[in-house]
Amino acid sequence: MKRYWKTIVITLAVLLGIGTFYIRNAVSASSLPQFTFVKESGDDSEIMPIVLAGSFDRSGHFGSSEGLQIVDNEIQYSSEQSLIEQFTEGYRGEYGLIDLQEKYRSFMRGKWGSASFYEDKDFLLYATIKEEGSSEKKDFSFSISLLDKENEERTDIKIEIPMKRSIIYMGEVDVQMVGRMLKVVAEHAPYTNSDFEDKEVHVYTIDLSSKKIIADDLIFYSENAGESFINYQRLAQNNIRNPNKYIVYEKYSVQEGTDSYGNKTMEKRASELIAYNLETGKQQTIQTGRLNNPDYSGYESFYNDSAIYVIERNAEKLKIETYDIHRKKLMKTFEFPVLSSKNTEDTKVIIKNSRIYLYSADESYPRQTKQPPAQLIIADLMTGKTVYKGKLVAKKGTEMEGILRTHYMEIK
Amino acid sequence: MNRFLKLVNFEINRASKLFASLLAIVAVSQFAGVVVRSKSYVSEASRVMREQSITQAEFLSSHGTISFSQIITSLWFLGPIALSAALLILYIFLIWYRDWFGKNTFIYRLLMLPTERINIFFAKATAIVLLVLGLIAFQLFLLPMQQTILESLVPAEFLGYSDYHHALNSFWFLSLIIPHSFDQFLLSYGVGIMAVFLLFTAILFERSFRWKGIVIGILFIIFAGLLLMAPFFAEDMLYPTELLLLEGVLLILITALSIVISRFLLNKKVTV
Repeated sequence: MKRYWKTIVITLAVLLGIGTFYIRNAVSASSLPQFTFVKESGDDSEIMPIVLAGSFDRSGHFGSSEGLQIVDNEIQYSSEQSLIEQFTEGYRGEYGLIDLQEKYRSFMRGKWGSASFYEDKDFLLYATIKEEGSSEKKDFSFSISLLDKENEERTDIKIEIPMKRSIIYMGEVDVQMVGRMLKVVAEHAPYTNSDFEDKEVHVYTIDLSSKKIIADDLIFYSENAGESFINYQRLAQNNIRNPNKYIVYEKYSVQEGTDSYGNKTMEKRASELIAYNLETGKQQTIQTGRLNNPDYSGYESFYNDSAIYVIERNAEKLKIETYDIHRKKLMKTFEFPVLSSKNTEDTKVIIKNSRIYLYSADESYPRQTKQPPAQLIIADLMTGKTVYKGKLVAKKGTEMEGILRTHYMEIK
Repeated sequence: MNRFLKLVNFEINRASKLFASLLAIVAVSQFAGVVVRSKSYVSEASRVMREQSITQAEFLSSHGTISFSQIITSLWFLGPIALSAALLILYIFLIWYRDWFGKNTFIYRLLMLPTERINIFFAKATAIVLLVLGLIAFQLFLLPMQQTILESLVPAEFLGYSDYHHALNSFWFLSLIIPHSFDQFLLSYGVGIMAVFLLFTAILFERSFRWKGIVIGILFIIFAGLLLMAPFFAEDMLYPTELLLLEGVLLILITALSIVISRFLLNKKVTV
């Protein structure tokens, strides 16, 4: 036995040292602040679909911040996740596809991108634009998969897209079905010699039974005349895979100028919303004074089915105007308080299932005062009633001075 | 089995001087690092606060607190860890070649032992793994002590994260060798053990076919690497759990292949 003591000591040290380390890691509580939403009024179940991702920086601490996620009102720091959790949870950040992946595992294999899906009660459809060839000469084609939900019959179709001119990029932004016709809304970036970035929005109509493209409609295209530009920005769609009759773009004009220092400036002049009806191919303009605010960006607003939600935010409040596309008029206006912050981006807003999810925080840094807890408001946009109001605070005993930042919000 | 344990013990005894000196270097350098870095931070703080006549809060907002991760990522800490890693990688080669090129051709006696020759291979691999894990265990014994020293040398107001778990997570290399979760530990050291086996097989190729063997050995390692990466080329088509499972299976397959080839080489091809 005596001859073996070195090996025995090393073996015991390995088992004991590494064993206790991992057992303690598994059972001991996190040393980082445990943020959860604490209700002030409303129904707790309303916050369950919220997914937040962000980071926590301890004040005065230089170095890497702690990445974190809040799912089902439970915080999880990425440094404390197991390998399997890191690998599977929120993979590619697409919670919106998890339900489909669970239900149609084999159909969903290799299919990504929420905007490429369409789902109604009979069909699940996926259409994406594939790119082949070198940067000089690219060929594009549609790759389409259709799943008939009832008999689980699957059809895969590939259709070449005829090209009239050279294109740098082409990508689908929405996929819809109108009758037995597939509509793919695609944005093109044609090849140009100027540094102005051209944009074209096409709607392709594809007959699924004859497997042919029967129409290619150019609906919007950016224009450039001297120092003024007209461009288009699609509004966020809150349930992108649901059936939707319209697609809504913000058309805005920008004037290029020079400031007193001689730097180039871009000043936004005017804008309007255009709803394109996928069934009839008709366009309809919605004018709202709010849009001409130079700070307004189409990114901020949402549309769904026949409603457009125009969002305007300032430091203290967020204003929402609901337009009805059919009735061509402003339906309702709501106002919600937000936590005041120097950066309006600290407020995150998503409209989904006729609810508004409004997360507002003050994430400015460096700061003299303690960071106030972030505020969450969920309201029903039919009635304007607040269904949940709460604050994001660290559990008792885990508080730590520092800055919590969120950079991403999603509603499952 | 008994033969195998004797061989492991034999290898550990042969490496014990190297191992003991590595432990000493790690301990001395890291403890010195904790003391030097904490003291210099504290004296810097009092100097700056005195000379620029600023308050503690002002100093903290301009210079920040001191955290364990700042100490752990200093050369005092990473230096000896890198040295240990480099020497142990070197030792993977030394553990074989010393038997051929040592004072007396010891491999002759080893190969003549009345035991399966593959036991020599396993014993050497076990010794390497024990040495590596021994160093990790030693580091895990030191860390709580170092944390206590930091906390006693620096006043609480100036202290950032002092928890060593957090410090380990804050630097990629450290979270690779001491990951937070046990499944990551298994992955890190599973890949590590496979790499040791692959290098051993490459060494045996060289010992069997000399110059030609070096080429075969390198090709074998490249082949194993490509095989391990193959699932990532089809990543789009795989769900994350499938990818993880496939990698696990490949890891085991490659290790098994390495053992089978090594056994064949040791029994039939190796020359003294």
